[in-house]
Amino acid sequence: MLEAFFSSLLQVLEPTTFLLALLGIALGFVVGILPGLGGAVTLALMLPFVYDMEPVQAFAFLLGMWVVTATTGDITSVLLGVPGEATSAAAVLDGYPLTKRGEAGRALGAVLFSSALGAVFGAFVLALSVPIVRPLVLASGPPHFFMLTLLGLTFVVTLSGGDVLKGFLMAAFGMLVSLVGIDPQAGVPRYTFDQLYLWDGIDLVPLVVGLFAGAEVLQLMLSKTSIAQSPPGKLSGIGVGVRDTLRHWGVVVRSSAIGAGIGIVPGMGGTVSQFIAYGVAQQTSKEPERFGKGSIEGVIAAGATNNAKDAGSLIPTVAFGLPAGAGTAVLLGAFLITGLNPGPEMLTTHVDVTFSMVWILVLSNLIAVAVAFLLLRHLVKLTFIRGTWLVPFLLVLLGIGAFTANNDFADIFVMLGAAVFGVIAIHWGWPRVPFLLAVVLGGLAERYLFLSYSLDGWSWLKDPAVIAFAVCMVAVVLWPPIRARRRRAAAARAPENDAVRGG
Amino acid sequence: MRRAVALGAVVVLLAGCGGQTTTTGGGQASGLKGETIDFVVPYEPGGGYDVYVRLLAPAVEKCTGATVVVRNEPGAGGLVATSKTFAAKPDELRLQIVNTVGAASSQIAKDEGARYKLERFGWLGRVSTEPNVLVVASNSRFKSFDDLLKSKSPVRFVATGPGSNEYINSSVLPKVYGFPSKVITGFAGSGEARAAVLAGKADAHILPLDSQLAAIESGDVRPLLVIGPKAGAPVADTPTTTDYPLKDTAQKPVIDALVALVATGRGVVAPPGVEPGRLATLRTALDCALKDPGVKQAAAKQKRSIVPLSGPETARAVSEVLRSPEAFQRLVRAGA
Repeated sequence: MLEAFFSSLLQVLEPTTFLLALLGIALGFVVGILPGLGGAVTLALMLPFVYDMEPVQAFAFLLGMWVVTATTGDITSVLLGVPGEATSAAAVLDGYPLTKRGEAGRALGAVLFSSALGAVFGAFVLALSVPIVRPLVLASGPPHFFMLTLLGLTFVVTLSGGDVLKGFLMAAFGMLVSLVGIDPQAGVPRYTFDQLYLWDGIDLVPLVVGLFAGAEVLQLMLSKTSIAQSPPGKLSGIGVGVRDTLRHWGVVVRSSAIGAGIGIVPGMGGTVSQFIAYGVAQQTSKEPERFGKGSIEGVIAAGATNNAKDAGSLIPTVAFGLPAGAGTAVLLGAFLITGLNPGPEMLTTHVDVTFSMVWILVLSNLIAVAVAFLLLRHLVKLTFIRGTWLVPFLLVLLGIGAFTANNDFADIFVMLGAAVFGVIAIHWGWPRVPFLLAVVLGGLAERYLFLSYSLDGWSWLKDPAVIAFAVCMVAVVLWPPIRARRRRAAAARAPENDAVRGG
Repeated sequence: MRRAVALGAVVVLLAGCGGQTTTTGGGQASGLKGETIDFVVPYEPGGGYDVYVRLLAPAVEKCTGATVVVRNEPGAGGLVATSKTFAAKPDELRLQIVNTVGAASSQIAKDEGARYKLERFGWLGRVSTEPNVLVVASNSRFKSFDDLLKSKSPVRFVATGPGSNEYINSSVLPKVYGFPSKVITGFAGSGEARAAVLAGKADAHILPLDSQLAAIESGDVRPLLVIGPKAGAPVADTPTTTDYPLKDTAQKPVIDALVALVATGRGVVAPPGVEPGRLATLRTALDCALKDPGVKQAAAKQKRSIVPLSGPETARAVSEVLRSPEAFQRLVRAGA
């Protein structure tokens, strides 16, 4: 197997294949930066071009493109406060405040470098999982996914910063919004007010774009200044961001693991994993109060999880032909076109193709990040342009971003509504992330709870993994007050010590 | 190398178009030359319906000289787009691929979201139809369809949601053959539903052959029954519903209605009231595109079958399905 691992690297580096990978990377680079046009859509558009390609070539091209969209999507999030991809929304939370402080270079350095590390970590997980992947996927089911959504919802409480009650209320409101639409089991429309648009519930893309980007652009319009409010200081360097990432390697590892783990779960995908990783980073940080105000750890968490998740979502796709999200669903088409059957043969006779995916994940991210570093100096200048010049351009991006997901004008209204809600939330200090996460997780929690019950009755409650999740949840709730008490105790002891020494 | 460069140029062009394919073809004189046709996919990019439309779009351009823009309008399992097409003006040049099975069952079930009457669309024709296949996990206790028939405990079927093709099949088939069953719904997609079968949490799954091919060929699932006429490889040796005579002959029209419904497959429609001359032109265009050797080749490459049926015949088949026996309609309504 080790031999196949290295021979697949040679296959990827074969000139035509490598050239196709570069082409995919270039394409993904642009698509990722532009909000709206997502990785999955672009993949679908490119599918007809792989008819005559060898399997490894086809995946070098498609996979190279797809994983890079997630990487460069973060650039737009950090610089303009507009998520380049729905999976890049968490990078806005701390990346944009850093940009406002004139530290865009540092934020970008951190988000891109952690992205590259996350990709390597994810690829490593994918490679290691090859021998055990089939039992692993079969052993996990709706009960585990349900507990995972509950764990995510528990983090909501910790994501609300100082005011747990406000976070809880926003999450409750998000849960209510997640109820809108056809219920997944019996097909009954809920809160749809006779509008067919509401049948699928509130779409996530316009919601994310409005809640984060729309709100920031509105504020920029009102302030009439440039995005960066202080001139680029000494600390604006990319190198600082890279060193920050290395210093917070624990955040990188944890966030990558979360990304890869959640990537496997169908339906959850990058939109959820980025916020869970962000929540965990805040939870474990020594300075949780700085999150949301420009914490470099928050940026690193968002970057690392973003690329590890792609490797995770490839695991069930390769092993069983079960796509975990829209992007892998399109990749499944590429399997059929190139005459491969996802399943056992991908782990035996065609294991070289599977390993080539690992290499493509790593190489395309490293290349994209290197290119991005070369261009960053110019990109950062954007943030010093006067707001009045930038806003019209940003408004167009917002409109496109909200519209292209479904080609439906109603999405623009959802985006505008979310933007207004976002501004109100920022103004009165109500946290937006718990709301968004509850919208995403509320629907999933309902679906997996019902599925768990109809598949197993209540016997799944005795599943050891389910119990382990429950223990984690209790720990998440209890840890912050315990930590606060220990800190208080330590603080109380410190003056005593001083007093002893002094006396 | 040159191919890669050319590909790059096209790729950049496409990226600039914001998710829409636009190319202009030379084409024959058809009265559509120079016009723009919206070809609507009622689902997200990447699915089977999307694949078919993206295959056909360039050929329709070649056949008509018009510009074809592929638009994805997902929502409510296709009901949003289909209802929009129904409300579109006849001269709008809006074509849509329809999941006829889903759309017809929603109409039969008098679904709130089904704001259309299928019989009033301008039917351009059918693109394909695939037989539905009942599969079980390869290590399942059910070795043949006979085992299902003899089962004392309910056979557990999986389905995404009420109204889906897989749901209707799995609720009608056991009733017709008289074996105990339960349909478990709520899966995010067919893939997740299949995972439950592979993990042994549920027993059986009924899906169109095309979406089962890879799993059958890889040996993950075993086909037990083809619903409808005899099919080709890899289910050439699998028995069909005709091989299993019904105990209750009164159920014969019901199973026939189910097979007829499935046979309506993937159709293409124009809004109601399209002027007859233009409808004829559009029908010719679809027919021409389906006969295009490039389309056939590309479809074969993607393992997608093309089984065309003319516009008038498709329209007739659809109205017959809508007039199916009351016993069948009752089962569909109970499912929705």
